Amino acid sequence: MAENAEIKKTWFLSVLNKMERPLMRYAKNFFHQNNEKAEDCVQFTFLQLWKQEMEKVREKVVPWCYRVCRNKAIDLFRLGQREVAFEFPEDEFISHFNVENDLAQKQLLGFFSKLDDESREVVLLKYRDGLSYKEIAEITGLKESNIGVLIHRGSSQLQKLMQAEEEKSL
Amino acid sequence: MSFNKDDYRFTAYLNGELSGTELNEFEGLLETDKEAKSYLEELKSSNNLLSSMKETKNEFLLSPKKKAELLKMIEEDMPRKSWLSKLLIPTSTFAALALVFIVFKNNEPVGLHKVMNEDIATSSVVTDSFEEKEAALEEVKQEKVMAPAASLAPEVARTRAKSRGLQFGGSGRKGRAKKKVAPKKLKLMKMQMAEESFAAKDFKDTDRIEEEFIRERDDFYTATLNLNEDERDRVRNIENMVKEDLKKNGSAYRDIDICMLREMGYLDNANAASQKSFKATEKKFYYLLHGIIGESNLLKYKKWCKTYANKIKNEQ
Repeated sequence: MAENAEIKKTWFLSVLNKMERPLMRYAKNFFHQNNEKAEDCVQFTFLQLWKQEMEKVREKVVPWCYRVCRNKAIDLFRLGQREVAFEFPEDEFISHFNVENDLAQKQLLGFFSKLDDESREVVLLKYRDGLSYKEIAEITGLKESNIGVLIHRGSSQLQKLMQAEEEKSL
Repeated sequence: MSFNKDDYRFTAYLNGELSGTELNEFEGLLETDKEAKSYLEELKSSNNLLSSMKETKNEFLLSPKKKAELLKMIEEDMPRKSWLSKLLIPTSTFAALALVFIVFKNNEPVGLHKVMNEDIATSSVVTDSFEEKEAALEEVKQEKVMAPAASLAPEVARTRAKSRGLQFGGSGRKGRAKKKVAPKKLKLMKMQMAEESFAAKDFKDTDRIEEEFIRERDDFYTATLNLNEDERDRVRNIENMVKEDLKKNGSAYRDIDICMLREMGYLDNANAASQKSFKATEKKFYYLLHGIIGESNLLKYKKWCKTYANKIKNEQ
C-alpha cells in the first residue's frame, strides 16, 4: 500500500510539474484582478487530483485538471455573486506574450477582446494551450462539433479584423 | 459561391481535426471549388499566427507558500506503515534467513564448509567499518583461491564445531576481541559489500563524514537560511524520503543529501541504472525543497553543498 502511495506521489508530482503553469494561466483568465483566487483554484484542482484514483484519471489527466479548475472558478464566482465571465483586460493579456518584435501577432492578440467570451475561451484553449477539440469538449461540457463551430467563428472573426486593419492602413 | 464561410470544417481541416468521411468530403470540396480553396488560404495565415502564440512570463506559477501548503497536505495524506507490517517484515526476513541457514548447514559439501570456516578463522571478527569489511573480503577471496577443493576429513569435525558457534581464533587483527562469526554473517557481509562496492572506490570513512555533514548542514539551515522549526520539519521529511531512495539504490551514504553526493562525484561512479534512479531522486528532492525554502535559498544551499564537498575532497 505504501509502495502504491509512493508511485502515486511520483506521478502526482510529475503532473504538478507539467500542469501548474497552464492551469495558472487558465485560472488567471477568470481572475485577472485576483491572483490569490487563481491560486486557490489551482491548489484545489491539485488536491482533488490527489484524492482521485490514479488509474481513473491517468489517461485524461490534462482535460480533467482543466475541467476541475474551470468548475472551481465558476463556483468561486457564484460565491462572490458575480456573473461568470472569462475576463479579458486586453493590455494585460498582450503583456503575457513575447510579441514586442512581432507587430502582426501583437495586433492579432489585441483583437481577442472583440471576441465573445465563449469563442475566446475555446480559441485560447486550442491555440495557446494546444488542446484538441475533444479535450476542449471535455473541459467545457460542449459537443465536439460545437467546439469546431466556436473555434471557426473565433478564428475567422480574427482573420476578418486583421484584414480590415490592413485595408485601413493602406 | 457554393460553399459556406461559416463551415467549421475550414478551421478544423487546418488544425488537423478532420478524419474519415468528413475529411474526404471536405477535400473533395476543395478540389472542385477554387473559391473555397482561396478562402482556406486566407484563413491559413491567421491560423498560423494563432498557432505560434507563445506564453512567456514565469508569473504563472503557484507561489512557494501555496505550493508548500499543497505538498504538506499531500504528505499528511500519505498512508503510514502500520506497526504490524513494520514488525512482520523483519521477522519474516529473519525466519527466511534462518531457514536457509539450516538447510545449507546440513547439505553443504565438505570442501565449501572448510573454505567458509577457514575464511572466518583468518578474518576472525565481525568488522564494523567498511574498510575492515573490504579487507576481510579480500582475505576471503585469497583463501578461496588457495584452498584445496576437497580437503581432509579430520578438518570437517573442527570446522563444523566452529560453525555451531564455538569460539575460535586465528591470525586476526591485533587488539580486537574474538567474536563468534557464522557463515551466515559472512554471507550477509558479502552481500552488503557488493551493494556498497562502487561507493568504496572514492570515499572512505562514511560515518564520520555523514555525522559532520549533518551537523554543518543543520547550522547552515538555521544560521544562514533562517529556517524556522516548522520549515526544518518539512525539510527533514524530504531528507528522509531521499534517504529511503538512496537506500533502495544501494548507496553507501544514507544520511547525505543527494546534492552533496552529486558534488562529491559519487553519483558519477554509479552504474547506468542507478544513475537514472539517482537523477529522478535528485529532481524530486530539488522540486520539493524549492517548495519549502524558495528559489534563492535553494541556490544558496547548492552553493554551500559545492563548497562543503570540495572541503571533503581536499581532506581526502
